[in-house]
Amino acid sequence: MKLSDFINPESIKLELSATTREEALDEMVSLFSLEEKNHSMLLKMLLKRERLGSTGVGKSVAIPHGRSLVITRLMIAFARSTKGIDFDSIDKEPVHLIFVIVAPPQEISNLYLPILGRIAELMKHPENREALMACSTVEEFLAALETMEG
Amino acid sequence: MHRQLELLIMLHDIDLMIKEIEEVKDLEEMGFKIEHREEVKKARNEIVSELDPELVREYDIIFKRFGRAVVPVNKSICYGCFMRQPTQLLTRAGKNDSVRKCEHCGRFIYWIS
Repeated sequence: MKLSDFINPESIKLELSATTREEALDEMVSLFSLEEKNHSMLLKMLLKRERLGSTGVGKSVAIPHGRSLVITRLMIAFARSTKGIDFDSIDKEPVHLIFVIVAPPQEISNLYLPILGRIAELMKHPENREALMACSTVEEFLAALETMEG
Repeated sequence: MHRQLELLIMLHDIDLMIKEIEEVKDLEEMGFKIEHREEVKKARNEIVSELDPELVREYDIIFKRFGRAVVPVNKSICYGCFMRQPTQLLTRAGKNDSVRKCEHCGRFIYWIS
């Protein structure tokens, strides 16, 4: 299982224009290019997930995630904010690196939770976070991701 | 999309979230805060209050029975039971303009493109 297999280059944004958590989620859901209604329902699901508890896991990383009926396959989006976004993270620090992971209620490969755990684990290492912050192109981001996966 | 169908889909998404926090024990180990369980229940109640009570009753029965109460239909196949939908239903395919159930398994269905 390689994370880069699930991230389309079109689902990567190296500089978010959003300044709030809500705007950031909206901007990132846009990366999936869904129909308007599906976009709206997926965004509502992710916002409700944030009500349960922030997906800001600390160390400048957030991993909003969830299953939704409007999604037909597992998808990941990545975005970065140089300024940082208040995600009400566990350490109260602004978030610079965001991975959104969404999946249908059931997937044949059942990779949603393993991928969620894998990204959470990789982002615990400062050198991996630094590598993602240093990328200046989408290609560099994908290469950095492959390198950290080994 | 029919508003009641949209609400059923959102209700299902919430129920998947509730199921996930109940069943997946290592979410907090991964670093996720699960501190406002009541907020999700509140969000569920908000959706239920907008839904036709009869639909909620049927939804709850189907959810308990199958684990999934609303399923997509793709290329006329119900993704709950994998049976083909009758031809007369296909004329409305893709419109999602009413609340319908699969004639084979009884789950609520919606068309995906």
